[in-house]
Amino acid sequence: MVTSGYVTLAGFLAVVQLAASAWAIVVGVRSLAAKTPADDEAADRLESRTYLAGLLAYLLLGTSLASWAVLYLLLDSFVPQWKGAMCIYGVTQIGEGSRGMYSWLPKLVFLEQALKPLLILSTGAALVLYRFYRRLETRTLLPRVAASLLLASVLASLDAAVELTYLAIPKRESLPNSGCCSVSSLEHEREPLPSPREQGHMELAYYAGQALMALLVWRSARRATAGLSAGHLLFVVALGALALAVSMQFLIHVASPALLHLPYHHCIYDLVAQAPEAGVALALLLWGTFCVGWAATIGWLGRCAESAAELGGEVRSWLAYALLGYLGSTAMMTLDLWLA
Amino acid sequence: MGRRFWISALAVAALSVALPVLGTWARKQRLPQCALDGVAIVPIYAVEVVARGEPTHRFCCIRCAEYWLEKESPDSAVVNVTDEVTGKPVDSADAYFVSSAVVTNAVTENHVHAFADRADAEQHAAQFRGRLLLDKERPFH
Repeated sequence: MVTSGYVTLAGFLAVVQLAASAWAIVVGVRSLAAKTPADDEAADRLESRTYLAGLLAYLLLGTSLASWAVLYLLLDSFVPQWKGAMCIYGVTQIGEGSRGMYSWLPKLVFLEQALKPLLILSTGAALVLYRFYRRLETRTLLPRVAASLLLASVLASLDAAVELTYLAIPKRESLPNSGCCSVSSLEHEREPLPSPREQGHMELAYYAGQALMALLVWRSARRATAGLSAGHLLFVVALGALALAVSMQFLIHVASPALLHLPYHHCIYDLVAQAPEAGVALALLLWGTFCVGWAATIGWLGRCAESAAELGGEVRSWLAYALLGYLGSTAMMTLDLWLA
Repeated sequence: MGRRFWISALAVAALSVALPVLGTWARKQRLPQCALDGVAIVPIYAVEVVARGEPTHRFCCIRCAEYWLEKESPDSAVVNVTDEVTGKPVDSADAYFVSSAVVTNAVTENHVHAFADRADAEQHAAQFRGRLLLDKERPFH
């Protein structure tokens, strides 16, 4: 049976996350259910509950960041134990085509990989709004803070439940699997690798996307003091998501074969493992995308009569950090490819 | 922008230059790896492809080398396989190949073994339920 010490660590983190998120859900529901406080004492109780929810959100952010890293360490620790897997991709395919609960394994690990960044984005958004509320000291934002913390908590409990299920299912199957780029898997590959021409298009799309995002974020940051409309922020978020999707394709199909000097090896897991600076570039790109999301959260949910003077500055600050992420990521990737 | 932002900007700028330089240098110090999939090469199963005007390409097994040759199709290439008994390189045209139950690489599921001497090849085939590959069955024919 495939197992490792990371199973215990990942399980512990998931249990802590599940407990903290369950507590945060209770606090969030009670905060939202409370009507507008009739007296100061009731209002103070509501505020204290929000502080508790804020502290729980910090705990959830910590556990989700740690469990994101531990998830990949866990999958990596399975590689030498699984016959035919040459990298994490091979491990993510365990259970593919099997029957019963083993067939859930690839779906669960896919869900986990999608939920982790979403959880950090939502917990970060709730905390960014919570910090803004603390700075303004206005009770108008209390229900919005409580709602965003509740949403993050629900996502955290879902993530922990999925992780615990994945850990609990034995990693077994009757069918052989192999790594993403081994000859045996290449022979069975359904989709052919992109041609050099398509790779050129991907490179062009990546640089165009990064330049567009940097320009848009810079211009939005300059305009933020005057206030940005909800529609404009939605446009920036949508483009940020699109730029991230294009960048992922670029990293898999252009950066990975070029940096690893393996023209038939299109694998983001090996890229991060064997070229850790590409992992840092990816982290900066995610940071840029998250900052755009957090700026939009403040722009949408932080808007009220009391926040008019502070809102522009707060949005601008997060957009400036987003710009840093996009520029840093692109510069790092460009230099890496040039040196390769 | 506050002081904290400019310190972060300086740190990101420094990392953007330092990390790619360090990463590229570190990758150049690595041990030989398969030119197809990046797997570490076990010396007795190593295959070398020497194509005209190109650097030597090293592979972890015969299947990887065959796949690479099929994709790249260089004008003329000399393929050297490794004799599993002595560990010495031998021209693939002079080598004896056996397909047996022994897998040389679990990832690629390669079952083909190379020998410089026919007697060694036949002995391996007898021991491990294999058979000698002849004519068009031979790799790199």
